[in-house]
Amino acid sequence: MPSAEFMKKNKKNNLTPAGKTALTGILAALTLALSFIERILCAFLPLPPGVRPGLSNVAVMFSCSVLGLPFALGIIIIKAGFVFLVSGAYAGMISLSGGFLSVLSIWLLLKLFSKKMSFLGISVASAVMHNFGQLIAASLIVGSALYMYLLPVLLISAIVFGSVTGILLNAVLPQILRIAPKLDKH
Amino acid sequence: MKKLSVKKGDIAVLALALIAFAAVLLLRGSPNTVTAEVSINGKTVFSSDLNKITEKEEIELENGVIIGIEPGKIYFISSPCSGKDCIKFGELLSEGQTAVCVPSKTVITLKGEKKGSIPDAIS
Repeated sequence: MPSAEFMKKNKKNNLTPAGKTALTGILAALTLALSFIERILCAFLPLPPGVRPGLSNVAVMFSCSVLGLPFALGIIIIKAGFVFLVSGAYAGMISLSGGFLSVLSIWLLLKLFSKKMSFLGISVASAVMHNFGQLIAASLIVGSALYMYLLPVLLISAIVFGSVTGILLNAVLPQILRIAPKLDKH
Repeated sequence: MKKLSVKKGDIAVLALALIAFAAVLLLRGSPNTVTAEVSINGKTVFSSDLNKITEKEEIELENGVIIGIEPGKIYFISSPCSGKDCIKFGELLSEGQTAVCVPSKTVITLKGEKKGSIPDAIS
């Protein structure tokens, strides 16, 4: 049984540190699986190169909301590490930069506006920041400013796919918390 | 946990993103001349007025990337990289379009030049 002091520290939800770590691992695996499925899906969707739906953002937003910033950052680092191993250093850097900005924006919005905003807004904002972070990293690597040319495409795709993933989490999260009330902070 | 529904903040974010999209489109405007530019690692290695190109050309760059240029269009033909994302960009036809090969640090762009506009302060 956890001690009183320990429970006080973790009053936000009823997860032990071990539980949080385990959940982080599961969610990290889920982000990798979703990225993989997305890659297969993209072969059939008529999308411009570089544009992906970002389904794994569902798991990242979930982790940021339930586990907090450090765990969400951990997932981003694991994901970037996987991209690094599979697609090389540049792709890993681009993934890390995008993921870092998107997690920061999710965390900030949850902290500041969680009463005035659902995951729809958070998801769109984080998708915009994700693309922006990737664009900055890619621009630094190729040594020229790409943003003026690629920004319109990335903005509109962030709006469309950010809405899709946000609506998905809006629908799914209450169901998850019903099955696993331990995760609920409220 | 209450049911999650769309709130004012969501609409605000969507509106902001759409305004940003419209602003970027408007800022780009429409050009008078279109220049095809190829750069490696930020340095321009090839530049040509697209309207002055009359026949199909293949340009092999020092890093092994092969670029095709035809009247009114420019595109990646082949690249030594593994992803081949650059080739999937397809043909660039209008001003503002860019295709990138990140592993070989190669960027092809169609740049538009406007008369009497502010110089490009960003690049």
